[in-house]
Amino acid sequence: MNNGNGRRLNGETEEDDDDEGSEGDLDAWERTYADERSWESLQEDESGLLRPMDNKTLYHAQYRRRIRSLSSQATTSRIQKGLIRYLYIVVDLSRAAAEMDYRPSRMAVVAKHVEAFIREFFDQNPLSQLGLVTIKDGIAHCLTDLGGSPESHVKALMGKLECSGESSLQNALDLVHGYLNQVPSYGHREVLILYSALSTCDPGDILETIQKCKKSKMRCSVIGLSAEIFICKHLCQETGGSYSVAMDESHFKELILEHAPPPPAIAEFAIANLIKMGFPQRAAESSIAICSCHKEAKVGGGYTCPRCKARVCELPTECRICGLTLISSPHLARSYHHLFPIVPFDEVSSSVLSDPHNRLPRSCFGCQQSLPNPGNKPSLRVACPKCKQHFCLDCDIYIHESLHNCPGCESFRHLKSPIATEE
Amino acid sequence: MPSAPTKLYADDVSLLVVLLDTNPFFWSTSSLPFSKFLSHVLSFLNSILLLNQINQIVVIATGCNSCDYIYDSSLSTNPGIENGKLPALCSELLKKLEDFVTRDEQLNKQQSQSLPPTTTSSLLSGSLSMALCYIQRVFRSGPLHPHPRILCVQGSSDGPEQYVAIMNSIFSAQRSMVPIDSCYIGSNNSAFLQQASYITGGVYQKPQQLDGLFQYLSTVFATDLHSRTFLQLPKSVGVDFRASCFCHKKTIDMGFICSVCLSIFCKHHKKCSTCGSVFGQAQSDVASASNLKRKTPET
Amino acid sequence: MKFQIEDVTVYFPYDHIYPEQYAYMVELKRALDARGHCLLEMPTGTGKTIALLSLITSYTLSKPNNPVKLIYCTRTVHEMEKTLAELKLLHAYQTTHIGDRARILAVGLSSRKNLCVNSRVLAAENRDSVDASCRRLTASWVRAAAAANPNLPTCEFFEEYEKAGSNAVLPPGVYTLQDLRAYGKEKGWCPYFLARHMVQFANVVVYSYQYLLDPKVAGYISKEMQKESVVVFDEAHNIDNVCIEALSVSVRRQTLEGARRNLNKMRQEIEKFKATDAGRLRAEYNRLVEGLAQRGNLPFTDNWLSNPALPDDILKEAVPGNIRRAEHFLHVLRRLVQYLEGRLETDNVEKEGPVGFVASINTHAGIDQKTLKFCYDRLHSLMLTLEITDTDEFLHIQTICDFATLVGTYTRGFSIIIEPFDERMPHIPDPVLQLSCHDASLAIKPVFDRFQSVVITSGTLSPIDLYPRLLNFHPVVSRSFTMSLTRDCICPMVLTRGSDQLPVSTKFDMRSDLGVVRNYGRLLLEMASVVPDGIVCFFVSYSYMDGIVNSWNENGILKEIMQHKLVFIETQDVVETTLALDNYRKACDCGRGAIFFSVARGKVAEGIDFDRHYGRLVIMFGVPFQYTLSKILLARLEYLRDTFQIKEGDFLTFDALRQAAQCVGRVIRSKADYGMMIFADKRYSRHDKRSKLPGWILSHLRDAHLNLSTDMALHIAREFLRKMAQPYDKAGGSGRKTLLSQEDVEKMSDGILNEMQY
Repeated sequence: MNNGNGRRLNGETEEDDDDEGSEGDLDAWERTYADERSWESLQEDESGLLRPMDNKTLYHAQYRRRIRSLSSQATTSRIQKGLIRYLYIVVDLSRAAAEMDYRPSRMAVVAKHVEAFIREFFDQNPLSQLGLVTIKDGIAHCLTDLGGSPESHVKALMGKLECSGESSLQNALDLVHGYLNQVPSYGHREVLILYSALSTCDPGDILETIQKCKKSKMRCSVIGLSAEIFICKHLCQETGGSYSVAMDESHFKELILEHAPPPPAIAEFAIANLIKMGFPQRAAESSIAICSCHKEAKVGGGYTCPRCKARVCELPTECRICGLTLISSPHLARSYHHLFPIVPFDEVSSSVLSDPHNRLPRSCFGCQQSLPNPGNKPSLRVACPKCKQHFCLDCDIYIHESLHNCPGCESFRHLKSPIATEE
Repeated sequence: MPSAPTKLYADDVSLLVVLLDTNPFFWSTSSLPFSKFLSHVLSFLNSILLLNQINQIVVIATGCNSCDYIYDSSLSTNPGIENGKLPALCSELLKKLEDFVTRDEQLNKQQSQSLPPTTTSSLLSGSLSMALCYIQRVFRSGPLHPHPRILCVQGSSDGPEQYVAIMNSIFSAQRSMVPIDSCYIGSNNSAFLQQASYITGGVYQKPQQLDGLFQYLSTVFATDLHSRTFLQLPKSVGVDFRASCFCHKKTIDMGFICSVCLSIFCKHHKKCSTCGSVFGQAQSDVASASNLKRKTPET
Repeated sequence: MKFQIEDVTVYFPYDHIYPEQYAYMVELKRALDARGHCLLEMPTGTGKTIALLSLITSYTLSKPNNPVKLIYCTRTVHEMEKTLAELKLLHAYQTTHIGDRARILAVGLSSRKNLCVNSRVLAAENRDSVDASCRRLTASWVRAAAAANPNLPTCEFFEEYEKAGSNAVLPPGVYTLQDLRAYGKEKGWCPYFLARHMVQFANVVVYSYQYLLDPKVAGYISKEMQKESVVVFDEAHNIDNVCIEALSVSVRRQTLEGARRNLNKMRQEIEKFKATDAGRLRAEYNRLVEGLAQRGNLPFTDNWLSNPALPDDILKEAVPGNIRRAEHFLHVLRRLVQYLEGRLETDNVEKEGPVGFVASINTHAGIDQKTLKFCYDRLHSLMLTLEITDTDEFLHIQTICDFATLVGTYTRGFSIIIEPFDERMPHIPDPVLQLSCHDASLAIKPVFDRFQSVVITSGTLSPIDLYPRLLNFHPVVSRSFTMSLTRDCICPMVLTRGSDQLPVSTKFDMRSDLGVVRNYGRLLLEMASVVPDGIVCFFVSYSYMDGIVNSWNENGILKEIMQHKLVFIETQDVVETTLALDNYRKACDCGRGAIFFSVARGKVAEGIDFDRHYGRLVIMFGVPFQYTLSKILLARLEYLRDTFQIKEGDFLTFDALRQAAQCVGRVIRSKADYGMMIFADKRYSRHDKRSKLPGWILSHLRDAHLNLSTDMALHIAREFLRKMAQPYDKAGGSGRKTLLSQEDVEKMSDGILNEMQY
């Protein structure tokens, strides 16, 4: 089985395409006007020598604030997440996308990050479907239809893309609206617009189109690459999406990846439904069957649809013969951490640290890195409120972003809470 | 998200994190005694260290009530053997292991006073999480670091209450491209470990004869990641990806999924028992009929 | 929230207050305590209006023994409505907190056109004809005749109002113009006369500047305002111009021709009366002999013409003998008109002082100064006697009489300038005789003298020390406040050259340089491609705007600009401009983006706001100097130099930069808003020009943003827009607080008390 993200199984590492290096490409005078007062990030230490400022704690503080705000919303009101998403990505290929303020050009950068986003999206939302739409010369074209496998989308994106003409928000919204209306009612309808232009040339009244989208419960979000446009802000406010403007390439990457995890679901947007799905068994290694997707005989591998016994090559997919959605249990398991989130860790206050009676663990529980016992600096350790173990800042970020398990809570039997289980 | 590992100083340097199962409930009923098992494992660990000067080994013990770090080869200080005694590796490791087992048993006693023992599984999710945190630290240490992988030597059966946590760890390992090898020495196959090895690209093996455990370990599990590309290793067969339904816990190959919380049911219900949502449409066939309009993706 | 400033408890209707609002209130209170005048500059978008209203009403509440009346003067009707809306909010808050003690009566007052509810009267097209049709229905003789003959039309609202007599009062509350109209319709009373009457009893009156500054109007509206009043002039940066215009008159050929016609008509009327009702004319004669022509016991509906001279300067004597008889008076006026026509025939520009002019009238037309002084009163009395209600037709003769009275009354501070043609169009004969006032302090002097405290406030009062000199008063408090911001939401830039490094300017000799035109065009084009939504451009004059837009059209730059955004332009026609503004806003709303071309001293620059996405960038093309060759301006400058020792260059720069700052301030209306400002002229980089910009602009003008070229400005614009699009914490999370809560204010007040003791 393909693990759904194209990585090879035997751990051969990929070459890292290190073409990041573009941040320093501003001309010298541009940098002056960019107000890069680099002397402000230096500080004097105790002996009077200059040192760069400790950005790590600042970064961590920002990160923690973000996590706390997100989780406080979720846990207090038990907001459910939209786990079955039908998302259209609208890429603006108007004249403005050929600008060079992102190297090599906006379009190339957008394509690169959309590819990363697609892979991340399917990683986090295995049951969802994605489609691509482009706007060029004022007309919106559907680049790929809604589908559940990343390869087809990535291939279309990597093809030759050219930009020209005006951009039309209304045409894109109309097109996407038409497609998303056909989607089943339990799915969450979303649109993510990556907008480079500064205006929109529409054939009709865009405000009406926005109302139409709002009525169909489509959640539209926009990521702008140039500046804040009123109509985009209005669109996002009306439909309940989010509007953000990227400052530079890395910020753009961050913003687009923020849309990969499922957004909090607004209760009335999607009707709860029971969806019939199949869990096929993997066929024996030496079996021969005609594969229904390629229409040719294949040896070994493959899965058998439990309803019509047709052979499919990879999961998740829809059986071509009988239309049953076929998945495997790990696909469902990928989304379980949204339903059982872990609590954010608390900072260990310096009063606790400096108290000589407390016997503090000297290393991080997760990675065994030694935790320095700081003097007056802000604490560099956090603790889980349930198991009271101490962790370093990097483990904190890793645990909350990727692992979704607290090693401390998992490692002590008496702390394990009974949760829904299955094999 | 951690980035992919960057270039290394050589292709075959490995970091091996070994998760040893010390569950007394299992070892008391096992055909292979714990001491013999340890001697196999220790020889295996030594041979790993001999394969390459900069190989690294970390041992984490998976107990019944707790997990802990036992040994880290990068921290040991001694250069070599001292006047005929056992190598430092062994003495340190054994000592720590003993301490751990004692502590674990004490916890067991405390536990059994408050609650009767309901399950006999080890806390695999805990040790996997700790191992992954350690591996992240290694990734952060700079551009030159060994290839990490995890080896689970497990005998106890799967604890169903750990399903979500173990799956989380597996997916995180997959994203970081860390293979999880499993050497299962219990009686029936462990579905969790099979899935783990399959998804992360590791090797799962249930040795047929436990007396020759060292042989299995050194031929299959000592191979570094680079060499695996041109070696024939045991293939995974019969991984069961079927789900079990929430209501009866029986394995099903076709079921109904709640669109809000993704709980699995074997037959149609009016209301989801996990999240409480009331289902809108009576017929789920209407939903699947509209599925036909969507095109299947090309591979 | 409620807090103390020394002995006054201030009731503020919001939970949070900006630090600068607090400081503003403290300074204002000081001025009120000292019973003196003050000059306060606070930038737009910081809640100046609510701070003012809140402090003054709370001041009254705290000193119930000496209640102060608040007279709030605004420039436009729109501002009036906004102020009254804020006051409503404040009033609601205060009554909920204090109860009935806080109930006040607040009215707005405007011309009949805005307050009349009689649909027949309203159907007239402009303000003067509305006034005239109202008078046709309400003049005392009309009503007297209607009492006898019920077929004559009268205004039913007025009749009801008269009938109600002393019961016709407004209950306490805040009344906007809309409210007044609604109340009037409901009760069947005339809102205009009701409001005029209630103005004397109201605690807060809101009306326009003219009602206090223009003697012709102030005479009958504001004469009974008590001394213990606080007068506030809001948006008062142009107050000196308003004062000057109130006392200036201009006479053209049409005026004189119209005056002749009026005189003929009046003569016919007199002949008619002589035949039918000679008694009336005789009664008037007798009255004049006894000197009761001025004011006197005229019914208030007949009191519509008031002397253009200031109250102190009007002689309270009997009308001179040579104009007591109606025919004699008409002869005098005819001689005057003839003389003026003769003066207009000249081929050269002539300038004279009032004394010399009066002397020459005396020699040539035989009219002495005293006669001239009484022209206006005599005309008014005559029109009443002749029962003329179509006052809109007699405007020309009124203008002549205005002129005569002013020339006769004042000996200094005025100039008479006769120009045979407009300098810019020498071939078209267009003679004009202008009596222009140069001394702004004349019109405002009665206000300063009469009222206890006068507050002059605006967002652009720089340099602040020039105003006391111009208006000849001594403020007890004169302060300038800056905005406290959590993020720099203003980005002013001074652009001195184009991308080809050639300097740009609207200096007269550089204006038509093709390079400059092209650079300006390219600037606009580049900015249109990086700035979203709306851009506003201000030019120095209509002719300049026409010229440059034409050149851009020929070069094709305009077409390129239109590909990015739609272009709208302001014209001298009000309806067209309103339509253009409407469409501009629509274009900004729907995402198409638009550019608005406007002129620095036009209606748009004075009154229209371009906040939020309607104005993300404002470009001031050039320095908006007044037309320096205008004779009136030259005369004024000379006067200023002689009397106040203000150098011409200084005054011109001050005036130009005041205008520029006013234009540029249109773009920010609140702290969450953001916008960029570009001053596109090389002269702005000079310190003497730049330092005259208001403090709140200068504090954001970084050195790195001076002396920019187009590409640099483009880069800065891009960065700024991106930064401003990020989400923003209103209260200022770290560091200085820009939004104070109740406890913060209490803490601060202790601090401020300590400061004030030093």
